[in-house]
Amino acid sequence: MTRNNFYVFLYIILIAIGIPWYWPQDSRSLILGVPAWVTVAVLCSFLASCLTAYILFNSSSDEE
Amino acid sequence: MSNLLPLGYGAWTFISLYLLSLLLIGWFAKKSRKEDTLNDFYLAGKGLGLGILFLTLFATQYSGNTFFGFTGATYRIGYAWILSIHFMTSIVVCYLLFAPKLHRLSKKYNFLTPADYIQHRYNYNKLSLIITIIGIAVLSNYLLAQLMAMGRAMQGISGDTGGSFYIAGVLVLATIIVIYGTMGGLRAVAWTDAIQGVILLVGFAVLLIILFDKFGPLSKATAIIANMDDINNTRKTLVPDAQTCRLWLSYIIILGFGLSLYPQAIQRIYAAKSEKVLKKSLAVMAFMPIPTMIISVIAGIMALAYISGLEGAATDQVFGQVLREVQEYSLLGYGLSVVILSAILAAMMSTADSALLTISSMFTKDIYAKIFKETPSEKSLTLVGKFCSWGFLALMIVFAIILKDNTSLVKLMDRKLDLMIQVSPAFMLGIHFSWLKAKPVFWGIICGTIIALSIPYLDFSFISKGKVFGFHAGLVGLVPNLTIALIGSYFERKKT
Repeated sequence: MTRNNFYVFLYIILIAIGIPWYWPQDSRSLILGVPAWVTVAVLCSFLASCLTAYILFNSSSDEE
Repeated sequence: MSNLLPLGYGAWTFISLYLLSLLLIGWFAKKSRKEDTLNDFYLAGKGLGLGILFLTLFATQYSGNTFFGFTGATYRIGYAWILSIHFMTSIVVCYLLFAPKLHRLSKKYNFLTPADYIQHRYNYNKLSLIITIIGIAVLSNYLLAQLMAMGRAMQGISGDTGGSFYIAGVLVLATIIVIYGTMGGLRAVAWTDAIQGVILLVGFAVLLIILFDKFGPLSKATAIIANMDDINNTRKTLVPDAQTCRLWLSYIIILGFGLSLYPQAIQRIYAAKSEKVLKKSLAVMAFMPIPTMIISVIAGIMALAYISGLEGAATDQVFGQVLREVQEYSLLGYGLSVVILSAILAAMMSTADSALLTISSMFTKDIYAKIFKETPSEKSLTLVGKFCSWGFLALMIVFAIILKDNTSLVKLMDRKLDLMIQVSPAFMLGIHFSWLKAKPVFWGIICGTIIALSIPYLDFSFISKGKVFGFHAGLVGLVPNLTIALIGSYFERKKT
């Protein structure tokens, strides 16, 4: 698997976890005062932001 | 915003000073011009540094909708709106696919508009023209929506029920935009965007502090809404159903691919000082959805828990209700609400000014200049661009006033994402794969556009609110679009 494909794979995983399709419909568990699935969605978005920043800082540039 | 308390002289002075400062910046930007060329006027001489580039990207991407629409949507559907955080992140992720390489090419070949890249890559006039037409159509809708929102905001701030403040708001704010835009071009727009971006960030931060101070912790609001869910049999704190999850996946794809290709966003990619600056700006942008979206959602959740009784179209006014609560809170709250109101105006104006400048550049370079056998001088094209800005804005002002009480045209034209995503193969695949050919890409766009625009008017059981099984019409149109582009290119390559 090339590095770019690996990044795509990671984004797909983050989207798959971030969208709460797999949660039990009657789940009422809370984390930090909000529904647990909301906290997981925000965490996935944060990880996607970190991954994006990592790729931007570590990708090759013709100028450098 | 019809629920606000009337503003005093101090508040009006603050807002007036803010608006005057924009004109002053336009004048400074004019003085900073290095040469009378299209490149200098529309792309600020391709010298935007990290801070300005980040703030102009931020202010352009987050419009007045971030405050009103998103808070109202949270009020309607509850915590499920938190998934909007994913689609705002997906926009920056999609930049990764093409922005750094497009920036390098733009430096090398001196691109000004999106069609310049298309012409360089495919050398096919029809393809460049269709991309220009789609770009102008999408941005016109965007500009008109912002002008109407500005009018409504001024109407709300003034407490006027007749409509004269709506017209005055549209006229005054649009005139300010076009004055500083034509004085200093992208330099003025980016500098004013920077101020507007800072006001936006301050506005968001202030709002968050006041919300928690006034209403208490989020856990309390969540418990109240969960209780309401039990009584009313709603799902505002519960896990979204399968249909909603599909809709979110559709939003993530269409907004990521569509919004990252907005012509004004592409021009900011061209205008970055260097690739390093562009990447750093995008890296900071990648983290912006978290604070902005979370604050919008928190505002909506607090309103849902503590301001009950809004239904239907009135839910769009919920942000006005939240502001009224803030105003009544204390003298400090009143002062801070003025900062937030300025932030809202800033968000609308920064989105409108970027759209106007980009429309002007696309019309001048991609349509007007092509009429002549010999390309007119850069100086005369810049002048034409300025006249175009005034003329086009005048037309949009007329539309905004005529359509004051009728949003159906805006809704009718609100297929901009369905349209915009059709150009994604031309940019995102074309930039990486040299075997992609012009004619199949062109016919793919035509076919995809026709399908995407037709679907909302078809009467089938699986089509609801313009979406097929919860997926946007633009994504459905993208399937034949991509198929034609890829298979057509394969056969053309075999022929040659």
